[in-house]
Amino acid sequence: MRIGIVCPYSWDVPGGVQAHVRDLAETLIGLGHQVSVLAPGEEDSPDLPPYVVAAGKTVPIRYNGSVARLQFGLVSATRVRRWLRDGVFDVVHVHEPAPPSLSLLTCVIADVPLVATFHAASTKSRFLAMFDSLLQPFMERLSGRIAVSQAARKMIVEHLGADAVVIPNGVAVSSYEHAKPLPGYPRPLELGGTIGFIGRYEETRKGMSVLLDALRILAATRPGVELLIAGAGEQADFVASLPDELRANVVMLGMVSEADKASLLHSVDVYVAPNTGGESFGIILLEAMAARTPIVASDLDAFRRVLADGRAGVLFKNRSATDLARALQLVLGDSALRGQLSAASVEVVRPYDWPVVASQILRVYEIAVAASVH
Amino acid sequence: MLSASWWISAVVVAILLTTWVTFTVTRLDRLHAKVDAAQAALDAQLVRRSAALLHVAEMPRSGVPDEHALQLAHAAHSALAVDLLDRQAAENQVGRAIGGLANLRPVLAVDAVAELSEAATRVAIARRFYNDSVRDTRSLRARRMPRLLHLAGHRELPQFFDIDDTNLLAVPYQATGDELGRIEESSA
Repeated sequence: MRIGIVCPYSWDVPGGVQAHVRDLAETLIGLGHQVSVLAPGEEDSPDLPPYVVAAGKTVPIRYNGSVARLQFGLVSATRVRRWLRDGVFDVVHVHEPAPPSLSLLTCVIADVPLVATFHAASTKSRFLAMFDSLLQPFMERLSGRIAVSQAARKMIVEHLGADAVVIPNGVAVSSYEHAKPLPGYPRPLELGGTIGFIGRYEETRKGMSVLLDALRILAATRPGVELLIAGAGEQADFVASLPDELRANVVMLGMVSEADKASLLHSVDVYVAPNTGGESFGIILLEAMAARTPIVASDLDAFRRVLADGRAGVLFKNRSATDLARALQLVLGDSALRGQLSAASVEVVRPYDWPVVASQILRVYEIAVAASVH
Repeated sequence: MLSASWWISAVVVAILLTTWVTFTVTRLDRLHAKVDAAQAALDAQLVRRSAALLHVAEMPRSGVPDEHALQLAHAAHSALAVDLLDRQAAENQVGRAIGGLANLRPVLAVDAVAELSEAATRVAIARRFYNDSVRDTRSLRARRMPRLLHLAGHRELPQFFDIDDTNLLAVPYQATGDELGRIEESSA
């Protein structure tokens, strides 16, 4: 198929939607399809992969609490038209077609079968809700809608009065599976074990305080236990706030690239997700499963489900440091259990592997093309 | 003066109204055409599903018990009949026949299950897209101005296609996104 994909956010800024579009495009190309991605950005940017077409400069706009780089104008419209004309696409797949974005602009202009993927689980902005009836003439051009989660689908049903097919985010299982550990890792288990954590460690709901309390309990019997922390945050402040006796047990890696994230997962004996509340936790558990890293996670509903009711990870009582210490002790002390968890992970993560997810998306393309007037 | 400005406003209003009517008529044309296309796509997927059921019913080593196979073939034949009175009821029969195989799953041939599950998934997607275009069309037609001005002409009001399309044969641990309900973005 000739497939055009529109990413509304700049390629050079890391983000969930960009990563999704990149993995989808590369998977589809790998399956033999012709793919072109239109994304905001400078035309002469050297870092763009060959399948990305730059749609020109962007204007930073505050949107839903974060700064999105967006564009909407005559120049962009010309670029979109040219891209559509040159691409002769069988289907065009726009992502997050909220106003004002390249995706919505494409919906306005394009005269080809259109599929849209909605990523956000909530539309907090009343400002956007005002536009609903104005947007309807363009939204009704979509032949198919995809939501990346049930929550995103709920948003579409309640907000746009339409339905959507739920297809989850994918994980590039093979790149996580075959990553090399960080230099100096994995450490011999006799040293006390290595624990991994990835995320914004300063946010309360990520549960770092529970993890540190558990680490203190664990350090009593395993003085050499090490906690590897990667993610965004004020590192100096965080280290200064650590209790003295734990400072030697904590290693800060700062922000890491995706490749280093995979390496980190291969460097630890167990990955911990101590999150205390639902709102957002990231696709990190799927990535840990793809890397076959044994997982210990709090017993939130979402975690319980993604870990196949504890088959692919040991669950502990949410917010309980003693129960987390028990779970970590259990996993670190039992190599047979770690083997079982890894084996289950491989199986549980399989449906989220990009080739599987992409085949579900291709199925939607086929039906959307058949259901379009062309 | 008064009458001149009155005329100007009348002309402006007339132009705006004409533009709006043209725009809305075009929208309605497109929507009705889209409903037709989506209906054809849905129809194709429904036929494919019945054909898959028939195929499995007649498959020599499908693993379906003989008496059961007859029932399946019957459901498929009824849905494929040309003089169908109640399509939704017939398709619900097909859906139930496929769903009923979920219990037999361990003894069924793997390719039989795959064929039926794929066909059932496609029906669910095509139905969703069809109903979406029906909803869009109906809501535009239901608005006051298009209704008063009779902009939809004599075209029939498109009807929703209501069947239970739950796919009970879906692979265990099939990713549905349920698990990811609360995940919004990668946090690293």
